[in-house]
Amino acid sequence: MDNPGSAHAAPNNTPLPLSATAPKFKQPYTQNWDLDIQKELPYNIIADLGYYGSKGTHLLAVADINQPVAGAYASYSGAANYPDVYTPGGINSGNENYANPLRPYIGYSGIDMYLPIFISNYNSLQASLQKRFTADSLLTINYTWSKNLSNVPCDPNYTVPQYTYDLKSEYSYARFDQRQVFNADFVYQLPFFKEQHGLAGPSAGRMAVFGDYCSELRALDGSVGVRWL
Amino acid sequence: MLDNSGYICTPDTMPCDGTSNTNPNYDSLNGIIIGGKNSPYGTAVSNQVNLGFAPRIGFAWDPMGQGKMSVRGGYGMFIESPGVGFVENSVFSNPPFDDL
Repeated sequence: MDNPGSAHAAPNNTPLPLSATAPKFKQPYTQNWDLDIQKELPYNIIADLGYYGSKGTHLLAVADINQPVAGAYASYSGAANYPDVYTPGGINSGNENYANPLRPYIGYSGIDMYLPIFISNYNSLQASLQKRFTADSLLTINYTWSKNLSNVPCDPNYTVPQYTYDLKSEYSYARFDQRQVFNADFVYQLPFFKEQHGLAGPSAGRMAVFGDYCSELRALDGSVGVRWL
Repeated sequence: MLDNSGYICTPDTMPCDGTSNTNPNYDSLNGIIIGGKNSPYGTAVSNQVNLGFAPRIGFAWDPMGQGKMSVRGGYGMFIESPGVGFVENSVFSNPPFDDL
């Protein structure tokens, strides 16, 4: 072959995206705390009222550390060489590659780095009432009033913050923020075979009907069933 | 300068050279830390924390002394185990493995 290079496909000269781990890695952790009061009321009712909170530190998520800083396009000194490219109207999704010379690490496109720099916090008031009946029957209702804030992006592995250099603007309700949750459940021990006499007694006598109901901000869920106690 | 595909090729750390060829000066490993070579974590994906400090403390108190009321409180620290498998998934799209 006289010219082996001629047979090659056209080289791909797209600046490469990278994925990376933070060179300064910190162990992510959460701290939880609570204060709770339980009181026995008349008629076999137990009331429970508590504050539950938590805080996440050094949480991991991906951020693009090669994002052009705000204003990089307007102040790009090479723009005069490309009058057709760097026009008012700027960069759009169709010519994103023109952003590459504006990036901090030139020669690459996005660099998605797994960074231990995100935070979260959770505060809640949780209340519950439980009524116990004779035998093993009971009824419980629970209510939670909570707020969960974080600057972790929606999917910590694949969605990056909108602007890497201002994570404060990312701080908002967490994806799983649930402002109110109400749920209730009951267990009703069936009245027959209680004495557990006879052939069916030992098993059937401990049968109960149970059920639960749960209401979150956007979802309703409930179930009812039978199980052996 | 723009190459035939519309890529901007200056400064010369860009992969293209302004024609349809690859820039001979382009170094796809420019400053990249490589696991097992110059990584602070050796061949691991992240640092290894072998000593975790995660204290837990709690109390229960009966203020009336009649067994009818209870005040409970607690604090705990919980260490998260990072899901670094995500990073390993992407390893082969990074240089020097992207051409393999």
